[in-house]
Amino acid sequence: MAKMRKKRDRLEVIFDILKIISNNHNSIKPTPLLRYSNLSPNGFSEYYKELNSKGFIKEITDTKGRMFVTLTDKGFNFLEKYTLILKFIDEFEL
Amino acid sequence: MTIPSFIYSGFMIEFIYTIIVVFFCFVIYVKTKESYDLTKHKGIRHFRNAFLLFGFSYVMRFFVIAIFFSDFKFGFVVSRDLSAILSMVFTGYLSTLAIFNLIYSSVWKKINDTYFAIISHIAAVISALLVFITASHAIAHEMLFYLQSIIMIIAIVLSLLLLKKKNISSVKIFYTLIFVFWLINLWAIAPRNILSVEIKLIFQIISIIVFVIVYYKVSKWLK
Repeated sequence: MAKMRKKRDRLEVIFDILKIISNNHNSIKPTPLLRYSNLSPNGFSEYYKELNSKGFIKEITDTKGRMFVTLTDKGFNFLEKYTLILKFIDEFEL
Repeated sequence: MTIPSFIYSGFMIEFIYTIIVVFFCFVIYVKTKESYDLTKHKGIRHFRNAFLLFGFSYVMRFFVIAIFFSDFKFGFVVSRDLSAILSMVFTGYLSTLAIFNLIYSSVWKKINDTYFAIISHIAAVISALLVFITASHAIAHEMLFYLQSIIMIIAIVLSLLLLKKKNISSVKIFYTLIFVFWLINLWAIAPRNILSVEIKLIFQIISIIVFVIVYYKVSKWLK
């Protein structure tokens, strides 16, 4: 029997989504982002709205009218600080 | 002008001690701001709140000391005992909330946010009210000391039962020490306390070391 994958917590999901965007040269369309994020459409939609409203990501439109998702400075900051914050949370058992 | 006698009675030691502890409490609060802003993690929020509230509690505790160490008569209507009682009311309210927040920062996944908010504020208000209705500085201290001791014991037992990890980690030891030193500090300003200045000083130095260690652990990860 295949080993069950542990359910990701909220911070892990946010990190994964932001990492996907970063790994795609900081520019990815929403549909592939949903596919790579391993989330249900409803779940993805909730996270997407949250990340957008809190300023971690932003939407840009190219000259052909195609929409892409990119990271903001805050999004980059989160990726940079994520590991340290996790270790802090772990250290104090928060 | 004569030098007030309170300078010679350990008042300056209490003043310096309060400054140092409040400094570390507020610095811990500030250092964790960015990590909370980025993640909105509930554990971090309650951890920060706990240290902010402890900082304010130590400030209010110092007001109580200042009121009773002063040789100057107050020129306004509020009596000395009443101002001490009012300071104790705030001390009781803030410190009870601080204790609850620090415990909740570890067990927030197991207990609903709303229940925690209701229970902690009710306990804090009860602490404050009981202090107020005693109308006596001496009794208020003892009341708060025993009440918070009970809250602390219940909270620690509850957190051990709720958390799967049964082993005693260093963080739990530090939290327990913070609570214990707070209770000792509360007892140390009671009129009938039997602690000498030297014994109080030793406890205060150890409690500063605990806060320094917590600060060091925070700043290790959060620049």
